[in-house]
Amino acid sequence: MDLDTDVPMEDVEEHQTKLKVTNPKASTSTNNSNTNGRNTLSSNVHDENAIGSINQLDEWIDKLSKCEPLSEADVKKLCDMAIEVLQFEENVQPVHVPVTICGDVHGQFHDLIELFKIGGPCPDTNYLFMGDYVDRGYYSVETVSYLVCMKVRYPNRITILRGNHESRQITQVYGFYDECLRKYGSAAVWKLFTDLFDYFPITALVDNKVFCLHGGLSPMIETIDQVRELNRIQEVPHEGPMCDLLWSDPDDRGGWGISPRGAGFTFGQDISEQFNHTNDLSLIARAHQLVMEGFSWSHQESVVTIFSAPNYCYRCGNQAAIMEVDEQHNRQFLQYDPSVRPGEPTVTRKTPDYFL
Amino acid sequence: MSDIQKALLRRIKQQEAAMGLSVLSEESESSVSPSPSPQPKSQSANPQTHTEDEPIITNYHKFKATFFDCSETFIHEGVSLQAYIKLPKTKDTQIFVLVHGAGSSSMTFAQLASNLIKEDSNVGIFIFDLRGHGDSSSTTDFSLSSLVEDCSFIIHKFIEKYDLSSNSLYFVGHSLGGAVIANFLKQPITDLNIRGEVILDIVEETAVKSLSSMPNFIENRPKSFNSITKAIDWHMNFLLFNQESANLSIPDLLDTNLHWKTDLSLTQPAWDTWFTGLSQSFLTFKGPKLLLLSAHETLDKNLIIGQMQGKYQLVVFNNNHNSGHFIHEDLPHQVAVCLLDFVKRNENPDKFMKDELGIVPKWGGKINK
Repeated sequence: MDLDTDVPMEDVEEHQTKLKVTNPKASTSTNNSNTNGRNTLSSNVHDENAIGSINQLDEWIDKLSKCEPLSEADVKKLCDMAIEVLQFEENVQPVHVPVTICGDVHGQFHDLIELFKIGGPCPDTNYLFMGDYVDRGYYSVETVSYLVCMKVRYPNRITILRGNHESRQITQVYGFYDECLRKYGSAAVWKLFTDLFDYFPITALVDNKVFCLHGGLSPMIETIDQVRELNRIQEVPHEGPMCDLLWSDPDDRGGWGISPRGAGFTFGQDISEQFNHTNDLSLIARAHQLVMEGFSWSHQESVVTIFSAPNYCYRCGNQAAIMEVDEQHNRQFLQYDPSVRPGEPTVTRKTPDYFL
Repeated sequence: MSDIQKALLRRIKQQEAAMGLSVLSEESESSVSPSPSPQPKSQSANPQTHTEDEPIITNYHKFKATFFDCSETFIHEGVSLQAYIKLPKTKDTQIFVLVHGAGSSSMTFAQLASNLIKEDSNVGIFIFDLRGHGDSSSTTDFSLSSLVEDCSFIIHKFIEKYDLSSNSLYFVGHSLGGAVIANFLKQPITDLNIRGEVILDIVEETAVKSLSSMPNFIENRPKSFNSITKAIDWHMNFLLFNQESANLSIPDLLDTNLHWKTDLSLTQPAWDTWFTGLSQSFLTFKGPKLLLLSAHETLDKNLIIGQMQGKYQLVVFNNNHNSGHFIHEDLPHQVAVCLLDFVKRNENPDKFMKDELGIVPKWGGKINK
């Protein structure tokens, strides 16, 4: 196996120094969580271990690139490694340009591979994913395993935020739970991943100018500092600011509105403009809503929606898009169509034998 | 006395013998009397009853007679439509209009209605039997447009008669009833205060597909039953999962001879009108919408797009082996709570945020209705 020791080694070292710097801050923002005691582990990682881990990760990435799921034992190892990385990320994870920002993927593994072809391979291109890796598509296991592997392998090159589907409750309804049962024969892998999801950061801030999150704004969050105060390491709540950040949608109507989805809120242009002004932002980038062109502006370009699952659910006929932000903060959208899948998946939809 | 009735009596006697007289209560002994009890609605009374049916039938009649404030017949172009009404307590409480599916009847909502009232005694409930169902007149025209016209007619008459135009209306339709209300509500209705639409366990694509297996289903189901209890058992075997609910809903489906009141095979000519375009109709309604599915997420293309654009609320009662297509019968309390939550969120968002979520927005001004 050829080992690219250059970029990644640098990356891992960079990461370790960064850990030491950000540790105190991170632990205050997650002080009520169950992460205490893990902090000591990561600072003792030796270089040899790091190289071993890199080999291991590259093997997994290779395997996953062929859309082959990892063994349960490997998923366990991977999730443990990922917790070591993700627990020290912030509620508002800082990200630097250039970066390519992506929306929902939803288990459409082949389209994710297409995304990396269109946007350029990671780690050469920096990526920021805004959640919803699992559910609906038929390869949630491979998709989330792959992205988490990439995250652990290149922690400073890729950021993975949490979407409303990265939750225990939602995944039991929309497919990830069933897929885990089907592919592993038990819910163990589902449990490992959903436990890991609790550590995912919930928002990111690109060069202090572009605020990225899965859903949208909350009437309880007026400043980005208020996001930093949340205890994010928990299941996505049914209500409250963390729920809103993962569930809300922009709306044509001004002001706040009760969301038709049953969770989160709708927010109007006045709200977006005020938030951007208060926080000195140029843009809110979010995902969560299917948009037929793959991206869609709202609120006079103060909000952009990015959706990266082409032909969603293999039937919606939409394009997908990703947004490149370069060093000068220029934005460019890259649209793409669905990739070819190898044959139909084995999942069939049951038709009831009666209907009254 | 007809042969069937004689046969029924004979069977009662045989069963009594088999069980031993000790199980018979005083109540059931008196009911074995061959003279039919004087019920005004002879159609739904079952004069020739099995001993085992007695408590069920008593309970069923008692529910119909006592739960509702009134039952009323509305005549629409020669078709009589039977309605059951629980009036709202005040001018500003909500009314649930519950519309049942094909082959069902008003009493499919008996337990849901009870649970709604249990949770909020102020709300009103309006249920009616679709034409050709329950105690409404029989018909051969089951086309969706006729069902929708009946629905429009009866709700307007009801609101007018009881002077309820200020109360908010929430329409809830199960299965075919969902298609009826979705079609009714797809055009703006300015003279009614309609605030929400809920459809229970129906998705266009699945429904259209399932129609092809309907003839087989109709062919294979029993034409009649030996007793109400047997009919309930038959349903409890695969269609229903809540005995208490089945005890109220199933007696309403059978006539005196324990035959189906609704001949489903007569509905076949109308099938292609029932479900086509349902998803689009549902999404066209401008107000708050809730889709409640019993088992799995089985959305079709339009519903997936609508959901992924945040246009309606979806609740899936999965991971529950005790529920099926008749979700409101199987889990009446959970469905009631879900409906009342939906009302709370949408009736007065400002109040909902303050009272239920305990929050006043820190910023951003007004809250939309």
